[in-house]
Amino acid sequence: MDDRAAVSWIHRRAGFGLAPADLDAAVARGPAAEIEALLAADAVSAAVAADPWNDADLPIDIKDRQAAIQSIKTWLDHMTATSTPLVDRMAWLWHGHFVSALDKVKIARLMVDQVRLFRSAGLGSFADLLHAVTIDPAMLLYLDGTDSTGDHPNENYAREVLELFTLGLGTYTEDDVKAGAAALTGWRVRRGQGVAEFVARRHDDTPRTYLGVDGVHDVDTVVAAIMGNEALAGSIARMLAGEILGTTDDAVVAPLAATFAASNFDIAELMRATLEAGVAGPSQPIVLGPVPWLVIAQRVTGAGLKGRVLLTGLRTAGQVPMTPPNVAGWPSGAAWFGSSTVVARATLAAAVAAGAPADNPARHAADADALDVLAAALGLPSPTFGAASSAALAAAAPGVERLALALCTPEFVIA
Amino acid sequence: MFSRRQFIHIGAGAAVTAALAACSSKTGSSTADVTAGTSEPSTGAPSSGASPASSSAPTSTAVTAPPVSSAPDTTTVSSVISPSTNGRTLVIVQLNGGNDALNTLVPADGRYRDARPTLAIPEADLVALTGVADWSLHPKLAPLATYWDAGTAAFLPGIGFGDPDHSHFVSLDRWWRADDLSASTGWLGRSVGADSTAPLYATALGSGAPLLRSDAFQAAVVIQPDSFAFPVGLSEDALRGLTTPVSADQLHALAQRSMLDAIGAVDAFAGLLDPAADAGDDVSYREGGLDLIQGLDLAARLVTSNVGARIVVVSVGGFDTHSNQLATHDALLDDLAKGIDAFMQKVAAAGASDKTLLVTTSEFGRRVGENASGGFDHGAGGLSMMFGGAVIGGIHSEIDLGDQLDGDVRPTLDPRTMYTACLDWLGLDPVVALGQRYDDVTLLTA
Repeated sequence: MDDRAAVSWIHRRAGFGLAPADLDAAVARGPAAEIEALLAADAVSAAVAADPWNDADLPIDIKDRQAAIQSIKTWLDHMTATSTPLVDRMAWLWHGHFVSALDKVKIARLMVDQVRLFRSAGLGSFADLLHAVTIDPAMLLYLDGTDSTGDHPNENYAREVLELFTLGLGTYTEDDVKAGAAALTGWRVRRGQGVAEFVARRHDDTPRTYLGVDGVHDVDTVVAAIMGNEALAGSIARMLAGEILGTTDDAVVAPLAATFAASNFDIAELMRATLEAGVAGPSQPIVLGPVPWLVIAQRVTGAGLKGRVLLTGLRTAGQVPMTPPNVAGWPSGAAWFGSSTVVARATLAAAVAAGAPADNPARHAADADALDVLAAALGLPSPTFGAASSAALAAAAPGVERLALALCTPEFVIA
Repeated sequence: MFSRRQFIHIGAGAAVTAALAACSSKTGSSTADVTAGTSEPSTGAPSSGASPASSSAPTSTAVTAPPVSSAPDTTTVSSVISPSTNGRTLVIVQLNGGNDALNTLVPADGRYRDARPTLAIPEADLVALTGVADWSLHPKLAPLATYWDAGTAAFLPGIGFGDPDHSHFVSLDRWWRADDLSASTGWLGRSVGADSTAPLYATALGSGAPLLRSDAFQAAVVIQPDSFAFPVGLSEDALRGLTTPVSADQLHALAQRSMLDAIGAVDAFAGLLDPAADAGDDVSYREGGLDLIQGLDLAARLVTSNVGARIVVVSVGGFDTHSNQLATHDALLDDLAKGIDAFMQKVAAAGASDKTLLVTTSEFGRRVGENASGGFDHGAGGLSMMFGGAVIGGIHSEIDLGDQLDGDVRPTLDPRTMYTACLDWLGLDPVVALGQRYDDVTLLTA
């Protein structure tokens, strides 16, 4: 990859794309410096501190529809506007990994609080993240920890934390699920306050063998046992490689897993190694999910969708933040070529293009016939469109329709 | 070998070759992940009411002897059959999350009540099934008793694969791929030939449906019917321009073909839409956006319109009732019964009863015993229901609560038995989809 392609790649995979002027500046700095800049501790902490939500708008109320809509739109607006995208890109990634969803959590504020956790801890120690998410109020509600007592442990979280969130199938037994469920009993969400609390009389403190570790009896020892399992580094490195690199080949994942383990499971170090690996070579194409695609489209065109087209469009596309379809999160890859997503992408693209200010470089390029300029203004890694897209764009009406069509091209949709 | 994550995560009914699958962003791991469906119904309305006896009461209970020559006439043609020849439509209603089978079709067994001190359905509320002593229906399923009495409803308790797994995703995957983990395609997708070109030939409503995955065609996916149309500001002609010439890059070529398929599906779908409906600027508190009644209404329109729909999958969620089971399950089954009843009535009004088959699936049943959250954890043997003119009414399998599998209903009927019946009926070859026939029980007339 040349520097422009590499920087474009970094920002389309690990950020939300760059507006044309920002892309030029980043190319001048070079990909290595760009990775360092994204991961710089002060930039990360400043980005975390820039919390986009206002608690006054988010009462701890069940099924407050307006709060839910506002919470989602606020996050999308922030992803579009931020100059430090990695924190929210990681929060988005963890949101699709440690899944909770509004349909069951029902309190938008608690979903926001969980996203805040992913923003603040998403580039830190995986052990800290896992510990925090295990007793996060939204997670306790979503996977039934809040109802799990020593007399009747609920296995929902205990199963998914092993199967989906950490080690993966084939690394644990049904007895591990039962032991984990018992050890995690006693936590519940105080309704009306939206906070988790530990109630000792609801807890089963019996030491059990869990993942081959004796004496596991509470959250700390469960997390320690998972962190000590040899499958963890590979499982998380594989997940991140799939998301960022578009490949989970063992030859690619193994060194990343080794780096992750050697760093004592520092997510920032895993991310750094993953991005460096991608710039060096083994990246495969990925199909952008509707949310990253939309945010990139808004950033490069200067548009910001408001109103019903935004959430209706994302719902038709199959991806609304805070409402993942099930505990495994959203589908990926070619799933985003399903007909509903294709249609919604066109609808959203038309709205984005119509909302682009006239002085936006991409909008400007769409007025003229210079497709290479349009490709560059959209932050594409390649300097031009392929044959089919070039012909279609040349034939489209200059301006809004051409810009909308460009956002639907395979070149823009595939990162 | 096609890993679970590769298979499941791509899902969504997209046509993808194994090679393309490797390009997807989440591949290759042994951990599961899913693109299953979603959306959960709501509302409630009571009524129990038993079914009156009637002359056509089906015989009840139990796996009867495997019929010897049960191969219906449409099978053995060849591996790729022109799929639209027999004009029949299969509608699969997938109840995601693991429907609680024992509170849906309730066994008259003391062990059921013993295991469920607070969550068993009170005997007085049960809906009797005419001619059957050992099974009854959940009160919300009263509308379905009509079909039982007419001999057009069948129940398959204990359905599930052997050596069951409590994972949603392992279980769904086994249902989707008919337990063939070497397959890159879903059991229905791989049954259908490349000549199934009607854009809505196979349509997934509510979410993608991995069981429709095929190397040969791409199922239409309609998540939100009210907004399944291209925008005014971006013409179909302009979008169609993106699709030729076909790119040499496989993933780009797939994007191009997907665009063509979407254009075809939108055009075919346009006639089915209700212009009065309005999607609204809304966030669903249900899983997903499509509810059961809406999904089945749309399925009925697909079946009764001349758009060439032959396979429809309606995916709805909410059945993972670890907690608060009674109220949640009540509402779910209420929607299910009303949705199926309305569907069957519309199909009958269009004269299509004999050409339409509706079956329900769910990845597993739930535990026999209740948990302390007022719900049930993941179990094993489940329940499928079948409705339609071709259905041989009855209860075609049995369970034994005295012989549980570690607290679960032991699976007694292989889902591939139902698949074989459905494929035969559609005029497709079960051997292509399943490797062999599973016809130990006859479920449908030819």
